[in-house]
Amino acid sequence: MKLYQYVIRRLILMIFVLFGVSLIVFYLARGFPSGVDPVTPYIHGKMTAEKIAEVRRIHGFDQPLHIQYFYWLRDALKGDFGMTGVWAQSRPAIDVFLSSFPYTIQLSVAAIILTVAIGIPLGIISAIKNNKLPDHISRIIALTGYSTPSYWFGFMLQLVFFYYFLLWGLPHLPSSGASGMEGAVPLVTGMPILDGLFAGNLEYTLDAIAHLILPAFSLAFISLGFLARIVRASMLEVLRQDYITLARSKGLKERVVIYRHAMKNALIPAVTLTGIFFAMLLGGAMITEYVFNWPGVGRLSLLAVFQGDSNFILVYTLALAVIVVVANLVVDILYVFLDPRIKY
Amino acid sequence: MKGGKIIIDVRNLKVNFRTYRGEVKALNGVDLKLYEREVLGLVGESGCGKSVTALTILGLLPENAYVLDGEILFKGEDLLKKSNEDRRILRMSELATVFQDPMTYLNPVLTIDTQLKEVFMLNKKLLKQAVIVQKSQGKKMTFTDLLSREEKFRGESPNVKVSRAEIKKMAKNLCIGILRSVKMPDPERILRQYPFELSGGMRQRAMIAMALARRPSVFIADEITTAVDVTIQAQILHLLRELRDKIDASILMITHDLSVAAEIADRIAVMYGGNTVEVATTKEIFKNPIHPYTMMLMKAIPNVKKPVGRLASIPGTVPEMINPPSGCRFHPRCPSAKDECDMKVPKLREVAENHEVACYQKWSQS
Amino acid sequence: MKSNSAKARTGEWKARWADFKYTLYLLRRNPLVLTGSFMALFFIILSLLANYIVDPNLAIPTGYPEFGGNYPFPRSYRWSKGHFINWGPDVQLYDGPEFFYLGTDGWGRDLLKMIVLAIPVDMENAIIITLVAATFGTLLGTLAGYAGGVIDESILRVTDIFFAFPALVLALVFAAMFGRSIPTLRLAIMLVWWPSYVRLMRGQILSEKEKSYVEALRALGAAYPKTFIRIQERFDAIFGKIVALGAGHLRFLLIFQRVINGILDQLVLFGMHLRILFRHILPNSIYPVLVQVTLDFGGVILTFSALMFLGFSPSPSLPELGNLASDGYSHVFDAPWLMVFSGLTMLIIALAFNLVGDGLRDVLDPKLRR
Repeated sequence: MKLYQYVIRRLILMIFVLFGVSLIVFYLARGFPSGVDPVTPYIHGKMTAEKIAEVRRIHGFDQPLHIQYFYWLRDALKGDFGMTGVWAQSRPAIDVFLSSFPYTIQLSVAAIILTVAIGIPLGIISAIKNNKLPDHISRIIALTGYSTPSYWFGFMLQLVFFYYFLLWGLPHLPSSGASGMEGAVPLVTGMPILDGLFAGNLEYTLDAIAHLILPAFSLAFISLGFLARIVRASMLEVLRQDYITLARSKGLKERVVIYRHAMKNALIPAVTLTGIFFAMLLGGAMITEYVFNWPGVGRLSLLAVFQGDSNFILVYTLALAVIVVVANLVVDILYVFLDPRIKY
Repeated sequence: MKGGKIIIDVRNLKVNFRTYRGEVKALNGVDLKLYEREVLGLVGESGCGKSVTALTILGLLPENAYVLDGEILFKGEDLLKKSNEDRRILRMSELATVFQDPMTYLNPVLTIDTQLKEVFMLNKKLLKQAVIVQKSQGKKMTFTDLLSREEKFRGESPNVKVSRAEIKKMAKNLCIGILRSVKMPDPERILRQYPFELSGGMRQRAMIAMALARRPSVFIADEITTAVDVTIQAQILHLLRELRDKIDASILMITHDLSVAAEIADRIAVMYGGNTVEVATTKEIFKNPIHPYTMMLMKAIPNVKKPVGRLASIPGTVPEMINPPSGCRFHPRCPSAKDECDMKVPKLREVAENHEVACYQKWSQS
Repeated sequence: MKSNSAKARTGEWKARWADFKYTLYLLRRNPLVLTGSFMALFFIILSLLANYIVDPNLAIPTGYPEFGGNYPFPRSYRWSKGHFINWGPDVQLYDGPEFFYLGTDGWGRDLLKMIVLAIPVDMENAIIITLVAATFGTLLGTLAGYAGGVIDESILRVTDIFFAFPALVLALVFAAMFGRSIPTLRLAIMLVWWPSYVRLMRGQILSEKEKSYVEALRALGAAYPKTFIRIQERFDAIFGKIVALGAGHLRFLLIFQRVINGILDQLVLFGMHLRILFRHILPNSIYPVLVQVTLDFGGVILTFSALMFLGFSPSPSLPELGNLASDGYSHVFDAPWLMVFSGLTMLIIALAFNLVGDGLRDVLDPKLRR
């Protein structure tokens, strides 16, 4: 079938997935089998019982669950995802999400760039020098990377590069937040680095970059290990192929053999993986954002879960589902361009 | 033939492979002589070491293989003593190979154009001179021109500027030209396609083209007819016969199929268990096989004309190479074997004109 | 005298044993895998003996009226004076009789001892979660791969839904809504982990199914369960006799016979499928699952402790590596050892299993063998 037919088919499947996700999360978030009363984020300690009941009625929490779902669905299809609770200044859930999403995008992009820049060469070296010392070293680095607890690594980085550097009088990196100079620059994209560039404010941009380094590296360290292993495995497989022997028999330089013949074949699975990683990172690396106090979507989602804010949780998980499905789709389409054998 | 110059002289080549189960003694002292401008058929069963010999000559052995002993003289110089870089350069210009299965030996994600052009682009000097000659001649250069006017292209490099675009264009023209030489239909379209879009025969021709493009002195064809069906086989052999007259190279035709060797080879070398056991002209080998193995091989070929009761076969099985038989590796299955046969490996010795045999029992009968 | 099929099976098992020995040989040659295996073994033994090495009662914190306890020296976040590691000027030092190799936590408990007690908690949970998720996912994947059609599609859709959640989110939401107990947490993580096994196993089954030997087995009828066939034959024989006796009147019984035969046919087919599946396809497809289980072990431990760190533990004083870290979160600059050592232990455990799993994956890859 043609490409656009394939895309349409996938998008229809995505709608199905979204339904499933929304149903599951709705039940979990509002059904409160033994968890949090969905009205919790909207009330504060000083309300009377009557007021609480009224709030409950306004939001429809007193209705049976399937009716609640119906109302939610009807509103959601119109773009209204309800209000968040007091913890997020009672703003519309979708606004809360959209205003913090750019921060997460910035962090994810930075992390992916680092992951790819370090992970792919690491994997290639590992494959070329298979079972020799560089392979073992890169293997240790890669495996340590994805054995590291994400909360731990973030803190270690903060400990060394912020606290100890400060103690030792070295120039140090900030430990939290996305920017030390909030509000110094008009909001264009919501991403500090880009906004700083647009406004021509170099100091602001540099400050934003300084804030970005540690969290991005913390995220990247964990995923680059995984990427390196995949690249290594697929590179090894490619290097054993017959066409590599033919390429060598042509008298091509080894470097040419690897770059022109081997890499293209080997990197195909790496591309898939990178796409999926990106989607996951966009979901907000919750723990890293929490540890670094990064004002992104992940940290907010954590707070939302603790508060029991069902509306925000729904917005967040649905957005995530969309991102993941779209990312998968993009990657699959990319496949067509990379591997000429694939047709849909 | 005798009297001609030897272009590749393999002497007592011993190659082992390190594996989990032990050392595989793949080549056990192979002697082989390839003369200029001849087609030598290297014949033997699977596993007898034919491909390993070719790979050793090329310098493309896998990591777990190593040369134990022996020499490979190419135009008088021992290849085994050369550096990897030198051997690469030789592969680039002198030794070309075509392999068995064109599906797996062609890179699936690169176009034929890329894979063919890169061979031409290895020799930018040549391309540059070709452009210069073309400009001065005013006539379009073809691949056959390149082949024939070799002397004119070697050694000259005048300080004339030739742009990269012109070089690329020349390379492309040469690609089209060479594809025509290998009888590929519609070369321009083929160049743009990927290997999986071509038929088996076309892929094989593409590989042959990639080998020819280096204008080699030695053309090694490793089982190139094995993976294709009989009609394509016939086409390819036909093509090779035509090419052998046009190009100035020797062809080492490796095959396990005696009939293929019979069709195209001037001389045939028979290998068994890591040794060459008999070498003679094609006619001689079929008419008068001397080595017991060769004799039994010939007997095993069913004759179309005469009715046969039972198909003859050689008793026993091919020896496993980790613990091969001592001395002559054929002796456990040989009807003429005597005590001396299992003590030392026999070497090739001439017993008739242009006819060498490695068998103790047959040396006395001449 | 063994039947031919039994002989074939013995031959199969011999081949598998030789294969297994080769695998061990390859593993032995890889220094990293060896290191990982020793480390993993060390931790397994440690977790079995932990409660005997360290008195579990030491985990009961003191200083909080609701907990009680009888800790002799209540201390919070102290580091031993004279220790060779110096954490900086903001640290509170402890001068008393006991020497804490890794400092104390917020309740004054010896961190080293708490870590030792925490290891079995994490290991046990990781094993349970991984095994249950793997078993469930593998079975579903086998079903999907082998049965194909509607069953396959529906299972795939369900797994798609679960794949759309990143691991932590679903587990978090689930755990938040169902309460903070260990079983809930286990279930939450299982929910997140099983889909990858479905995909894995399904892929394996699909490619095995296409292999020619399966077709050969079916064509030869080699996999027909003999018991069913014998039942069928017996049944036919008895029926034939009954009908012969009754001549005309009992002809209608023939319809009954056909129905039963039809059912038995289906059972035979089903039995054949099961046999092919279990005897041939599964053993050949199981390797990647094993690799995945080992690798996932590290991942599950990390996820479990991450959830604990975020605050989902049933009790804040439970000795568990993530829990200990969360205790240290608020004091990361003036009592860093809490975070450092609990996380470091986590890293080493995960690393051990990842080394083994990674080496295993290398070794079991059919294209890289020999």
